[in-house]
Amino acid sequence: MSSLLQLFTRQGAFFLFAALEVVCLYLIITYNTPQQEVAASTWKMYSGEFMNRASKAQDYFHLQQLNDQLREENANLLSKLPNAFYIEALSNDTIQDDSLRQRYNYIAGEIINKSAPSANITYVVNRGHIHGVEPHLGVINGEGVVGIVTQVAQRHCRVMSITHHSVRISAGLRNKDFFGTLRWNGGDTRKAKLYAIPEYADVIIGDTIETTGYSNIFPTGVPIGSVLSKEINEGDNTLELEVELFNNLYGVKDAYIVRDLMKDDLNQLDNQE
Amino acid sequence: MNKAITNSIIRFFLLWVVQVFVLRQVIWGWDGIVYLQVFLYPLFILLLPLNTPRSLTVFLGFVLGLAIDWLYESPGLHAGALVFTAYMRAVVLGILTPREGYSIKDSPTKKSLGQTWFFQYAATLILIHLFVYFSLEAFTFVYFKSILLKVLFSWLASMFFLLASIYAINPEA
Repeated sequence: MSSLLQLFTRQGAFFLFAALEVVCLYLIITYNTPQQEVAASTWKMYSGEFMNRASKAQDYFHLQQLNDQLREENANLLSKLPNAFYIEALSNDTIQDDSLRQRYNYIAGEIINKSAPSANITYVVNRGHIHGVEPHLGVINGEGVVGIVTQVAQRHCRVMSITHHSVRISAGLRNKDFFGTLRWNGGDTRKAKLYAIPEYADVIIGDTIETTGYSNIFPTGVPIGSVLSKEINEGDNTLELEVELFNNLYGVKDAYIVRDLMKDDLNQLDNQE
Repeated sequence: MNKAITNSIIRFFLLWVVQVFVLRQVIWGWDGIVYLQVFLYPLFILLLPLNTPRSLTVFLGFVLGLAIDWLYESPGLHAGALVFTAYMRAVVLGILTPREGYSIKDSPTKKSLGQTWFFQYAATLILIHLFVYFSLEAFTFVYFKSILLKVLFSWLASMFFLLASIYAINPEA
């Protein structure tokens, strides 16, 4: 402290000089317009540059925080993409009409997985027990028949397509009274065969094949395909029709699971026998 | 009261009056810029006795500068330049020390230290003063050439008036 005082007394002239110059500069900047303008613009220039640098440096410090924020935002946006949703909502189409009683209703679903392209195509549909799906329900879409539900989980079900060895569908000719059984015998997945049509049926190539509704799996009149060729089965005098399927079974996307509301009623008949 | 002090007090007021009422009118320039001004008032700092404390010299420079600024309507400008000049006086005196040294009771005048010495002394300090003044006036070195021109013209004019007054009065202290 004493050395500081000593320094001050020895260099008093310098300190006085410096102090007075500061006072003068202050007076100049405060009371002289031209110098004030120069000082102001210089100050702005340097302070602007300084602020730029400071904010740049600050950006680096905030980088981590910014990253976290962006990651959070990304996750938020990802969760808003359509594929992030398991659609819990059911859209059951029900017709309100007093003279008509609802027989079938449809559970809208989406095919979310398909078996590898081979024989016996199967699908996984994002509907299960909690949506009311049961085994042996039919599945259709806008083009026609898709398949039949085989296994059901809580939220998903497995569907075997009509080109599966174990599928039998009651099918008939549209606007004609003949019907038989549709079956797939392997091979081309675009074609199936309809058996047990009486020999005398006037089948024309190109006739539409549709479901009959007799099996309680599909409603009546769901299109299946069109007749490609006919052949007489010598053994029992029936026609064997080759059917070209309407559905491209590898391209299907939508699935409407058909629920027969009168299945129990119909089953009672079987039990009574 | 010491004669040197009395003379200094008289010079303070005299130089102030002459500067703000007479020499202020002497200006010359072109294109709307004043390149020539006459500053005689640093003579007060120049002629202060050699034994004046440096702090006092600086302080007196500040006071006279403010007094000049008062009527020049440029607060701080002349004061800033004159404070600098007053501080630099000791440096210039140190550089220009005669071979036999200063006599502590002297004043740095032409009569006591000779014509050549006084010319060097005054020329250097007036140059310093003008350079600081015009730098403060521009407040930036962007127009450095203009500052140098102003310093040159004003230095010639100021030195003329300064030497003329010294030769006319030739004070000892």
